[in-house]
Amino acid sequence: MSERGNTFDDHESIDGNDPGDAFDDSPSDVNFRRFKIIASAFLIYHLLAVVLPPLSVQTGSVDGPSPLVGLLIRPFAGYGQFLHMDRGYAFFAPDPGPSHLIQAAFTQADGSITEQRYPDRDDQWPRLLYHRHFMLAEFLNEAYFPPGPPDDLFESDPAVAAIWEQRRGRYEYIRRSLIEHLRSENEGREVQILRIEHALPGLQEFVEQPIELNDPRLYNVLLDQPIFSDEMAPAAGTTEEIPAPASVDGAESQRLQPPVENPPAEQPTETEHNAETANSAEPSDSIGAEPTP
Amino acid sequence: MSAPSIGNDKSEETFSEALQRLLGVWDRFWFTPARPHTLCVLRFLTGAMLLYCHLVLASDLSAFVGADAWMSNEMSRQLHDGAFGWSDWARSYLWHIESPTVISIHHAITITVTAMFMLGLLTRFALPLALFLQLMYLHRLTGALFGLDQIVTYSTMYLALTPCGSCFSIDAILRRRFQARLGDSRFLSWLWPDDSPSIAANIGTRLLQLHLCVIYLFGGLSKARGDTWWNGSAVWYAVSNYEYQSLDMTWLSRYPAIISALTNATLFWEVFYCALVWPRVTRPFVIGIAFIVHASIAAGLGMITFGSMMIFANGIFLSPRLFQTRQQRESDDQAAAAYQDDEAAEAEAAERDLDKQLQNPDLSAAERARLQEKKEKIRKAAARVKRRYRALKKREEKYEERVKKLRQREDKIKTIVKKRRERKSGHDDQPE
Repeated sequence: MSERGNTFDDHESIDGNDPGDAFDDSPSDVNFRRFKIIASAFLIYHLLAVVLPPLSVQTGSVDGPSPLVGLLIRPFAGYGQFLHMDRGYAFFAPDPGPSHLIQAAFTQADGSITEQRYPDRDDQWPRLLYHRHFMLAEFLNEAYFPPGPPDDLFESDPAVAAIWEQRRGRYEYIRRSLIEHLRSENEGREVQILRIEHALPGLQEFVEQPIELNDPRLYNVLLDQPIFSDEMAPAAGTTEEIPAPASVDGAESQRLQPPVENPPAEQPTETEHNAETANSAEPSDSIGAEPTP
Repeated sequence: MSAPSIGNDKSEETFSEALQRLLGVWDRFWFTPARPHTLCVLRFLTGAMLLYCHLVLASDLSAFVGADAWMSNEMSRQLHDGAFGWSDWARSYLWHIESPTVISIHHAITITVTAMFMLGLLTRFALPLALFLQLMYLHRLTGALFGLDQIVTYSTMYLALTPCGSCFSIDAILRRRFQARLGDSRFLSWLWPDDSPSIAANIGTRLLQLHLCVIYLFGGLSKARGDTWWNGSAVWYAVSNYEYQSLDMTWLSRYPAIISALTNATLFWEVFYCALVWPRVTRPFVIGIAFIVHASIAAGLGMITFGSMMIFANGIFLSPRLFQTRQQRESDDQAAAAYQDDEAAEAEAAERDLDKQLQNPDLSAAERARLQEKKEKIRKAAARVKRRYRALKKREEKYEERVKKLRQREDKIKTIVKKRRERKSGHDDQPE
């Protein structure tokens, strides 16, 4: 043993030699062999916890993970979740898609409305802070689940209806949390948010007709409407107003209004023109019924 | 007529021999002691990145942690505790802290601990603590995380297993200063480890290397499920994304073939990274491409932190020799050569011993065959050792040659300087 007295650190040899070659039956070597067995077991466990989560993502479908991987991952899932290893590593995959943003409308003390888009490079600096806001906007979009379920689904497939309720509830809670944060920054006054999709120009399209990447035509409001709605895009003001959740203070005041068609002059320029582009006559993302977490 | 041999000795291995060989490979892969120098450099870089993350978070702390954050404490907890149907093991005490003062104090402590980790001060304590605090933040910041948080956490996690504070650190300075006391104290020796080869350093290195392979493999496989990575337009959609863009690269639209080549090259590089990063011949190319890809992401796609951290992490494939002093390298080579020399002598002695046994006329045919086989194995092992020994000798000779050349150059410079001085003094002495 060397001066450090730590078995894990100490079996010193020169690079390229096999420490297992020179085993005899001295107590320190028996201990070392035991250490290697225990360490090997831990290493195998850890490596499986590294590999199985992305495999689970890859083999998953709308019905959940594959039965085999779903079974295999069980003993490793918690360990991976605590160490933040439950990831799919699908960067820009399967295809790089459009960005998703949040458009917030703040009611000021004098009743005027100002708008702010998240993320915003001018407001959030350094870039890492901007990126955190960007990820929040993407997270809201990923969590989106349309209003519902339809009443008849409770009778025909109660399990699916329950999952639908849960997912819709999750989205509602996330959205409400974002609104509450913005309200706290707006001295408790009314705030409304919209989800915006920023489309990407195709390569051929861009070559034929170059377009600014932040051209207003590339921004679209994502509507919050039932997927079984007869109308793809109902006319302004026709969206049914669902009562706000009772548990949220002043939630009634959060009912969204259509985006501002003629924003006040003090609005940030970029936000202003983008807001105008966001199909402003469309109904906005509204607060739904009390979610069922 | 016997079946023709395919010329591979391994084809004649029994199952137990193959298993033994596999265990030997496993043993060598994980339990060969390694120098910690690469890990020490990575400790500084990872620590610096983590510190930067915490400092940026500090600039808008209440927006991300606390009752009024984008994701409120309750919301963040509910995303993990099963409120929406599925529960996981991600837990954070930050879900329960509402006081802005406590949150600020907690964050100040986190920044201090992370700075200690970066500088290598009491690394044995600072690093695991920095990892724990980082995990608490990760489980609190659900929704605002991205690839940077993953790779910085994994690097920290694997570094925590290793003596990465043993060089390029304040611990190394303290160790030198209190050298005299180290012999008496096992605790101090553990607290301030030296930079000798250790199994811990090797295990930490191997785990990060393998984790990177998994990240790239699944990154590549998930891309392979998309159309745009095959038809060659994915890179265009990445560079034309305004929210990511930090450098306008839309001029690439004039060169669709280049876009296509970059797209397909990225896909194949990611998928095959896990195989091609191990052979010494292909490793420099694979790591070189990693550098180019991540530098492009850092410069063009607005993720300078993520791109840089991926480059740092790929540095784990660099040999510790690159970060050692020449003296350390030479001393390692000499020790290795001496060891190999002993090993070769031992093998030769064992071979001689077997020869003697084989001369015994009473040996049965089976015993003779067994001894012959053993002798053959020893002969092969000895040949391997000799090859390694020759390679090391060659390297040593190269060093000596280089030292000799440097000395010659030094002598030349000295002579020139001396001559100039003499000329100058002679010139000064002449009367005007």
